[in-house]
Amino acid sequence: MIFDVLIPEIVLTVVALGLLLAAAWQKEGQSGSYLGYLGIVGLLGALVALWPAIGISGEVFDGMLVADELTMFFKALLIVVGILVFLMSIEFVEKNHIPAGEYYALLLFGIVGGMIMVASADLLAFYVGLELLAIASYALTGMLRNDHKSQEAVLKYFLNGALASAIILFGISLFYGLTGTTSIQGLADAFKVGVNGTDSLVMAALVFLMAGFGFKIAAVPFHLWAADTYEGAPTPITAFLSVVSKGAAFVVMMRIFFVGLESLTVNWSAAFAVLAVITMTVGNLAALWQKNIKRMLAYSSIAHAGYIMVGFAAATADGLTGMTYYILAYALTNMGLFAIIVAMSNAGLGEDIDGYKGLSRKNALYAWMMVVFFLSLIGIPPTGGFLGKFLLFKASIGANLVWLALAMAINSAISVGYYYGVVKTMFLNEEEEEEPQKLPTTANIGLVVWITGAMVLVLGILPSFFIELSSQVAKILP
Amino acid sequence: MITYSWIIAVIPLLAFVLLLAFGNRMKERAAWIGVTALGLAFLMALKVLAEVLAGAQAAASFEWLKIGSYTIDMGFQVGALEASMMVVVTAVSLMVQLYSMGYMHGDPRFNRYYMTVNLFTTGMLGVVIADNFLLFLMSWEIMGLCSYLLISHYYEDLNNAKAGMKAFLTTRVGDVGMMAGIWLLFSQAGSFNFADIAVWVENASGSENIITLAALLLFAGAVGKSAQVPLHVWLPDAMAGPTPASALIHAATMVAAGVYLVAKSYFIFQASPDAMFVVAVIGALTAFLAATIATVQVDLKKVLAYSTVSQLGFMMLGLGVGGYTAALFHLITHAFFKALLFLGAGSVIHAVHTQNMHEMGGLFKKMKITGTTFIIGSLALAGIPPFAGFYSKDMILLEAYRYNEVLFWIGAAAAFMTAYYMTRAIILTFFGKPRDMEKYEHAHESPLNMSIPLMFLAIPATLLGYGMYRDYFVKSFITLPGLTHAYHSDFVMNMAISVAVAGIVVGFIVYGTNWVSKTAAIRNLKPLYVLLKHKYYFDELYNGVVVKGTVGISRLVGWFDKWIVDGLVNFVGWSTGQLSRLTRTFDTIVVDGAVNGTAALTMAAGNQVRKLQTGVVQSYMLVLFAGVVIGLIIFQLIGG
Repeated sequence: MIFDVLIPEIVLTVVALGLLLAAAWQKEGQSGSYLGYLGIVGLLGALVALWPAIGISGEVFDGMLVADELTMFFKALLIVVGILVFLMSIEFVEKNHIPAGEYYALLLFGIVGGMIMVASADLLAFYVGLELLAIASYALTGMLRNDHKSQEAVLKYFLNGALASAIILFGISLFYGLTGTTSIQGLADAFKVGVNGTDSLVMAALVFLMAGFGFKIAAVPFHLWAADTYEGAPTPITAFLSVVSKGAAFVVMMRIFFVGLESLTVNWSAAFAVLAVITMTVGNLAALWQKNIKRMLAYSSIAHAGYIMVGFAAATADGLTGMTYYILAYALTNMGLFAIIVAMSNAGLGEDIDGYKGLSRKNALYAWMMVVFFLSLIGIPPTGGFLGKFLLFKASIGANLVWLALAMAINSAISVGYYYGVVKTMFLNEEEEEEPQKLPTTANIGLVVWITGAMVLVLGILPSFFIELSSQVAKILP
Repeated sequence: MITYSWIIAVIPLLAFVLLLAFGNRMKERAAWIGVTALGLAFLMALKVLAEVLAGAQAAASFEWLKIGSYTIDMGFQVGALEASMMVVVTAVSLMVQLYSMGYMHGDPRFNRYYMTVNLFTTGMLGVVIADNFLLFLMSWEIMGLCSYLLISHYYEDLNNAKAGMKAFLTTRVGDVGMMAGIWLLFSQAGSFNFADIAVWVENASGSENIITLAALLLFAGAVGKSAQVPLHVWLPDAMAGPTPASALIHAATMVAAGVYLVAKSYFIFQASPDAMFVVAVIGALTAFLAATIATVQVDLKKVLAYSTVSQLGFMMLGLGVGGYTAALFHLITHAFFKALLFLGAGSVIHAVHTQNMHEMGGLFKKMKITGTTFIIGSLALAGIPPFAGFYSKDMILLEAYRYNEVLFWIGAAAAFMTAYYMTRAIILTFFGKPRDMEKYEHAHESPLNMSIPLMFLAIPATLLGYGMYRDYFVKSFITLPGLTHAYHSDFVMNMAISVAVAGIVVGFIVYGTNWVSKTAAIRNLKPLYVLLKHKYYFDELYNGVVVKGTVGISRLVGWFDKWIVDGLVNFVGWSTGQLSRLTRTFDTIVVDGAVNGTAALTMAAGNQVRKLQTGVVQSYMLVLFAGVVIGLIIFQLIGG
C-alpha cells in the first residue's frame, strides 16, 4: 500500500540525488543538457508509476499522507508541469551558465515537495512539503548568480516567505493547542465534538492560516513580493512559481478548509469572497500599467488567484470542481505562455513588451499561440480558461453570490486591456524593415507550446473527460 | 441536406485551415480557395432554403459536457430565419471574396486577409445556426476577433490600429452585459438552450423583473455589436479596414448580429414590455441621431457607416415595437443593398484613391457600372419603390405607427434624412464638375472581378423586397407563433414614399443646383452644424470620462503600491529616528562620550543599511503583517 502510493515520489527523489551525483563528475564547460533529459526521463517514470495507485484510496504513514482522487489528479498535473518546466529550461540553463546539476535536482525536489503537499492529511506533513518546495524555490530563484535582479528577487522572496511560513506555523500551533491534533480529519472531528468554533482564539488561528496561505498564493494584500520575485527569477522558474507553488498551496487549502475547517465555513467563505474581489481587481488594475511582460504576468497571476478563490467563497462541491478545472487550465496556459517568453529571452529579445514588436512575422506560431493563451487567460471561448471561469461562475451563482460573478465578469473585461496590448504589439507594431529576422522555433520550446496550446483548446472544446476528473475531486468533501 | 446544414458553417473553417497551411505559398491564387468554398457553401445554403420552403426543419445536438447532474448540449437548429440568414451570409461573403481579388490585389497581407474573412464567415454562420447561447457566444467572440484584425489591417497607420482597439473594447463593454445576462438566464433556467429557456420564460410567473433584467443585459450585447447609441462610436472608426471587409462585417453581417440576438431571444423580450420599450426607444434614437450625423460627413465611407448605424437602429425599432418580421425583413434586404453600396464605394475609392467626396465629382461618366449600381443601392436604402428597402422600411414604419406615433415620426424623420444624405453622396461623388482634375483623369472603371459582384448584388437590391413582400409571403415565412402583424395603412405608405421623395428633392436642391448657398446655410445653422460635426460629442465624452477614469484608477493603484506603502515604512523609519534622537539627547546628557560615540556609529550604520535596502522588503513585510492584524480585528469583531 505504502509503496503503491509513494513510488512516484521515491522515483523522483532517487533521480534527483542521482543528478546531484552525476553533476559532481561534470567537467568544466561540459554541457549539462543531458542532466535535464535524465530528469525528464525520471518524471516520465514517475508519471507511469502513478498508474498502480489509480483507484486506491486510504491513508499511509499513520494518517500523515493520503491517497484519493484529489491527490491523484494534482500529482499527475504536478509531474506534467514538471516535464514542461524541464523542457523549457534546457536551453535557458545552457545559455545562462546555470549549474545544471543543482538546478534540475532542486526542481525535482520542489516537485516532490508539491506532491507531498497535495497528499498531506496532516498539518505537519503539509508543512514539511511546503518547506521542501519553498526552500527549493528560494534557491532556484537565485540561480542567476551574477544577475542583480535575480539576487534581489531571492532576497525578497526568502525574507517574506520565511515570515509567511512562520505565520502558517503559528496558525497550526494555535489549532494544535485548541484541538490537540494536527490531523486534518482530526480537526474536523474536534470541532464537531466540543471545541467552540466561534472562540476568538479559533478566529485568530484561522486568520494566521489564511494570511500565510494568502502569501503563498499571492493574494492581496499579501502579494507585494510577487512582482519583484517573478520578474527577477530565471524565467522557467517564474513559470514554476506561478503554477507549482501556487497550485500546490491551493490544493492544500482545499483539503484544510473544505475538510478540516468545515464547521467554520461561514467564516472563511465570507473572508475569501472579499479577498477574491480585492485580489482580482488590484491584480488586473496593476497589470494594466506594466511594461515588462514577466511583471505583467505576475500581476495577472495575482488576479487569477483572485478568480480561483471564488471557489472557496462558494464553498460548495461545484466550487471545488471549478477551482480544480481552473487550476488545470491556468497551469497549462501559463506554461505555454512562459515557454514563449523563455524562447524570446533565449533569442536575446529581452523581457520588455516592446521586444515583442512584430513577433507575428518573426515567428507566427509563437504569436498565434500567445493569442490562444491570452484568450484562455481572459476567459474567451473556445479555450480552457473560458470553461474554468464558467464553472466558477456557475459555482458562485449556485451559492447566491451573483455580485461575485459580476465582479469576475467586469474584471475579465478589464484584463482584456493589457493582454490585448501585447497582442497589438505582436501583430501591429511591426518594424520598418521589410523582412525581419526570423525567430526559429526550437524543438523543446516548440514541443511545450504545441502540447499546451492543444491542451488549452481541448479543455475548451472537448472538456467532458477533464470535467469528469475535476468533479471526482469533490469526493473529499465529508 | 438540411440535417447536415452545420456543414455549411464548417466549410469556411476548412478554407481557413487550408489557407493557413498553403495560403502563403499560393500567393494571390489563395483567394480561389475562399471563393470556391463560399460558392459551395452558398449553393448548399440555397438548397437548405429550398427545403425549408418546402416545409422542412432541422435541429440536432450532442452532449458537450456533463457537470455533476447538469449536461450541456451543443447543437444547431435551422428554420426559416436561419436558412434565410445562411443564404444572406454566404452570398455576401462570396461576393466580397470575389470582389476582394481585385480590390486587395498587391496587398502584402493578402493571405491573412482571406484567412480572417473565412474565419469570420464561420463565426457568423455559427451565430446563425446556434441553438444555444454558449455556441452563440463562442461564435460571437470569433467574429469580434476577426473584426478587430480586419479593422486594423492597414496597421502601418497607427490610427487604424487604434480604431481596431476601440472597436474591440467598445463591443466588449456590451459583451460583459450580455455574458451576465446569459449567466443569469442559466442560473434561472438551468440551461443555455434557447428552447429550454423559452420553456422557463413561459412558466416563470412572478419573475418578471428577472426576465426584464436578463432581456436588458442581453440587449447590452446587441447595443455593442450593432453599434446602437450609446455604444455606436466604434463603427464609423471601423471604416479604417479594407472596404470589402467593411461591406461584409460592418454593413451586412456582423453588425446585424446584435439585431439577430434580440430576434433569437425574442421570447424573452416579448415577456417584458418594459424591455421592448427600451429596445424601441434606443432603436429610434439611433436611427435618428446617426442619420443626422451622416448628413455632414465628407468621407464617403463614413456616410455609409453612419447610414448603417441608422438602419440598424431602424431594425431595433422594428423589434422593439413588435415588428419581428419587419425588422428581420429589413435586416435581409439591408444586407444586400448596403453590401452593394460599400462595394460600390470601394470601387470608387479604388479608382480615385481618396475617400473624401470633395475630391470627387463627375465620376459617373467614367464609372458607369459602379455609378448605376450605386444609385440602385441608394434608391433601395432611401426607400423608393420598387426597390428592396422600400418594402422592409415601410413595414417597420407601419409597425411603429401601430405601437406609438411619436416613434413613427422619429422614424419618418430619419427616413427623410436617409434619402437626403444619399442624394448628397451621389451628387458629390458621381455628378457635377470634377473637383480634383488629377484624380479624375486617373479614374477608370474597376476590373471585372470587382464590377461583377456589384451587378450581382444589384439584383436582390432591386427585386428581393417585392419578391418577399408579395402576397405577404414574408409575414408567414419569417414569423413566430402568436405574433400579430400590422397589414396595411395607406397613410403610412404615402408618408414613407413622401419623406423619401422629399429627401431626394431637398438633397437635389442643395447639392444639384445653385439655389441655396451652402456657406450661408452653414453660417445660419452654425450651432447645429458644429454639433453634428462633432457627432454629438460622444467621443469626447467617453475619452474624458471612461478612458481617463480607468487610466486614473490604475495609476492610483500603482501609486498606492509605490508611495503609500513606502511612505508608511519611511514614516516608521522616521519616527524610529526621532525616537533614537531623543534617546541620543538623553545619552548625551547622562552617559559619557564613549557611549555617545557608539550611539552615533549605530545611527550611521543604521542609515547606511536603510539606504542599501531601499526599504522595500520591510515595507512588503509590513503590509503582510498589517493584513494579518486587520484580519484579526475583523474576525474578532464579526466572527467572535
